[in-house]
Parts: sequence; C-alpha cells; structure tokens
Amino acid sequence: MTELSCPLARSMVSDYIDGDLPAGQARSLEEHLQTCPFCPPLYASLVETLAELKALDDVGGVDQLVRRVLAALAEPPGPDDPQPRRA
Amino acid sequence: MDDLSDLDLVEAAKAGDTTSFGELVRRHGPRLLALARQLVGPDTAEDVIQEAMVDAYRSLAGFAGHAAVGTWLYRIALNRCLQERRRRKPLMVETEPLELLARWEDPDYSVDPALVAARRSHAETLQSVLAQLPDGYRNALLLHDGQGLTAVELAEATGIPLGTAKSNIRRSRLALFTLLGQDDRGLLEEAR
Repeated sequence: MTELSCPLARSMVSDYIDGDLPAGQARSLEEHLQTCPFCPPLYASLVETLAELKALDDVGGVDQLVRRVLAALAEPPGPDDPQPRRA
Repeated sequence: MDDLSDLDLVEAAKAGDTTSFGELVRRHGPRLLALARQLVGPDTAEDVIQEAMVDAYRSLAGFAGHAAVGTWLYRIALNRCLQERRRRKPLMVETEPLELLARWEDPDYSVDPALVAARRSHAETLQSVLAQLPDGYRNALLLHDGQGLTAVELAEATGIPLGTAKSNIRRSRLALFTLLGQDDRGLLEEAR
C-alpha cells in the first residue's frame, strides 16, 4: 500500500473521525499514524479539541425557558407581532 | 408525558395543547439554549430561544414531519440567532478560512498541541476563537461536534446542501485547530 504524505493524511482525518473513510483509506491512515513522527500528536490533539466542544453543551435553566415560552404563547400577537422578549 | 414521542407532542400542540408544546421545549430547550449561548452570547440566548419557540408554535401547522422535530427546532432557532447577530454591529472580523486551511498543504506546517490544549481548556478563549469563524463553520462545529447532529441533520437544520455540510465539517475542524494553535501570545496569556 502506498505511504501517505502528511498533508494527504491530515486531509483524511476528519472523515476518519466520523467513520466516513473507506476501509482501505482508513487502513492507510492508521498505518501513517503508527509510523509518522509528526502527525499522531496532532491527531490526538484534534480529537481532544473536538471533545471539548461537547462541554459547551452544558447549560441549565430550561424550566424558566418553558415558563417564559408558555407565558408568551398566552399573549395574543399584535398586528406587527409585538411579541415581548421577556414573558 | 415521557411516553409520548415528539411527533405525538407536535400533534397535540397543533390541536392547541400548549402543555404538550411546553414538553417539547423542555426536551429540546437545553441544547437550543447551549447553541444560542455560543451564537449570540449568554445574556441574549434565552430571549432569542423564547422568540424562536414562539415562532415554532405559530408555524406548527406547516410542520409536515419531513425532518425530525429537533432538527426543525434547530432550524428555527438558528434563524433567530442569525437575525440577532445581523442586528448587532460585527464585533470581530471573521478569519479568512481558506488561508488557514492552505497552511496545511505545507508538509512542514504544524501547531503546538500543548498550546492548543492550553487555549481550548479556557472556555472564553475557545468561544472567542469560534466567534472568528464564518457562520457555516461555527454551525458545523457547534451542531455536529458539540451537539452530535449527523451531517444530514446539520444540512437540514441549517438549510444547506449535504455536500456543503460535509465540507463545512471538515474545514471547520481544521480551521478551529489552526486558530487554537496559532502562536498568539496575547491569547495564550489570556488563557492562563
């Protein structure tokens, strides 16, 4: 199997993370990540960075949102739809 | 209400049952709020999502079930967030993404993983870097990597072709990683 260059390997990493890379290309990339002295730490860092984005999903406050939405729905819409921003 | 599907709740809400609609907001609200906090900021997010949910309730009749209920709500929420962002003066000039991506065509180009780690662990720094990206890239990162939408769902929620959604996923990841890895001492100090 032909060895991948670093730029080509890096261009394949995103699809690999999502499991969208064809099996042959995935094997080539895995070989590259086992032998390249430069790409493995970058790959690991990218995976960790994307995992960090999931932490941004951690919010509370939904009970207040539900109350506000239901109160807003109880208000009749005006001719210019003057929906109050705060219920 | 836990045993009712989203579609059951939509049908009940179409018939005027606002309690069922409230349950939909309860189910999907946290993720919509999280998205809005990144797109319009924490101070405005709840206002924007409240307005989006009122929009959704008023357009229930037009919901035909072609997309999942959650995806449909994402689309409405994104539209409201976009309106809010346009209403404001731009806070930052967006980074030219192609210039960032082209750097990786050089086999010798790299970034320092330790620098990336230091900056991404600081939520405000991560958010400021996200804010520099074009809307399509930011949506891809927040919805696909942050909230777990598939590429198909991302395309439906943002109203773009599937091929563009997939391209945005690939490019946005590399752009974020590159920006985080830039040797910017000011931002590094900020991350400490």
